[in-house]
Amino acid sequence: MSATASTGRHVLVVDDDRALRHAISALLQDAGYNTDQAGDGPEALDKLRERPVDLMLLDIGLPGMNGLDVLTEARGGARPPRIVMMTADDTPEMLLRSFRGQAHSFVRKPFAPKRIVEVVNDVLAASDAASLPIEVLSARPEWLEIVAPCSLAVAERVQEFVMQLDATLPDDIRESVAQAFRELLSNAIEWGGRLDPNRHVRISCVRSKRMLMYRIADPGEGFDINQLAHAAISNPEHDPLGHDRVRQELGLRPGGLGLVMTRALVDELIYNEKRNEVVLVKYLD
Amino acid sequence: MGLEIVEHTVGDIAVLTLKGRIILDYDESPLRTAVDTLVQQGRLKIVLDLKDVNYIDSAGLGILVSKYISVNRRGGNLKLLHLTPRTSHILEITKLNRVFECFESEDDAIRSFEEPRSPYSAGVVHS
Repeated sequence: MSATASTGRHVLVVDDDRALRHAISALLQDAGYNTDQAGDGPEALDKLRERPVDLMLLDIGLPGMNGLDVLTEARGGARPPRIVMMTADDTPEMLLRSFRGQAHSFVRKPFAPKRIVEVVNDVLAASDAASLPIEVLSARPEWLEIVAPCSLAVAERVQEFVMQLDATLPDDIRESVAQAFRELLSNAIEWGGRLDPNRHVRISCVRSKRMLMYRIADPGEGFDINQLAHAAISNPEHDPLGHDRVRQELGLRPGGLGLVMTRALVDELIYNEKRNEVVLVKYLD
Repeated sequence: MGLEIVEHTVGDIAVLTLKGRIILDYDESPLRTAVDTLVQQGRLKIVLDLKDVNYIDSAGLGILVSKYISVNRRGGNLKLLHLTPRTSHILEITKLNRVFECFESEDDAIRSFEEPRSPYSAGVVHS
């Protein structure tokens, strides 16, 4: 986002560390944002009542009323801003409590100055659909289960949170799982949910010592694996572009490579009979 | 972060340096627009520098494929430069490493347009 695009957007920085609060505000002002500051939860809530705020950067470890309590009150207000949680406590429990509280994003301290500006840019660039509520059915680190509206903007938010839970995994495994999860979730939302935010996908993420398992159930009718000439998985060995010709004939957007990619990135990919539910498994040893 | 594109020209070859993510986007894809603009101008020798592309999903890969086909149909060529290990892996598992010519230096990518065109040259990584 350019400075021009950020002009007029209002960011409230909430942290009890005065020096950090000032530093973040200065960075955001340089990027073209209007900023305000609060040193504790009650002051932050007062500022939210005084004037509309587009985004609140909210420290979790505030004295007295902590950031998670502020999150709950702020989200229940008449004009809730998008909220990005900041914390040095990067335990999965803290991440999940932020997610359940409908935080938009989560940033671990310490962060590079450039990073915080990028996060603010990205969160404010997301469409309004990204702020739709996500129902959290289970918020255990070993078993996260959620129901989310069929919106690609929401999928982005879900993926960011889910993949932060996997932050301790080796890079290659984390990247492979992240990509496979994103492909399957996008498929479920686009084809199963037809990008209709009134329809929902149900997502379960189960972590054991030896494997990661993700299950995605979409509201669609499923599909027939034998009717996928528009997908690269049906290409003959000598013709890696065959599916694209079919997609052009059918007027489909470019793509069709998701299933091929996903199969290569995880250890197991299992569909139910209708193929509107899928489980991916990645073994860790 | 979206996708930023900076263009520079070497002779009659357009080099587009991409930064960010190439992903499913129902808004107008900046990559599609940039390549279509070059094609409309009759500039059919194109290099995409992917050094600063940190993520490509299947739809983004689909855009690369569709633009490759569209440029080739008009007698041009679209080649890739500076693949990250991640992008290289994605091309490999989708077998698109057999389709795209990929280079590790801009000079080599530029020089390759002087060579006689061969359908068998695609898919080679030139270092």
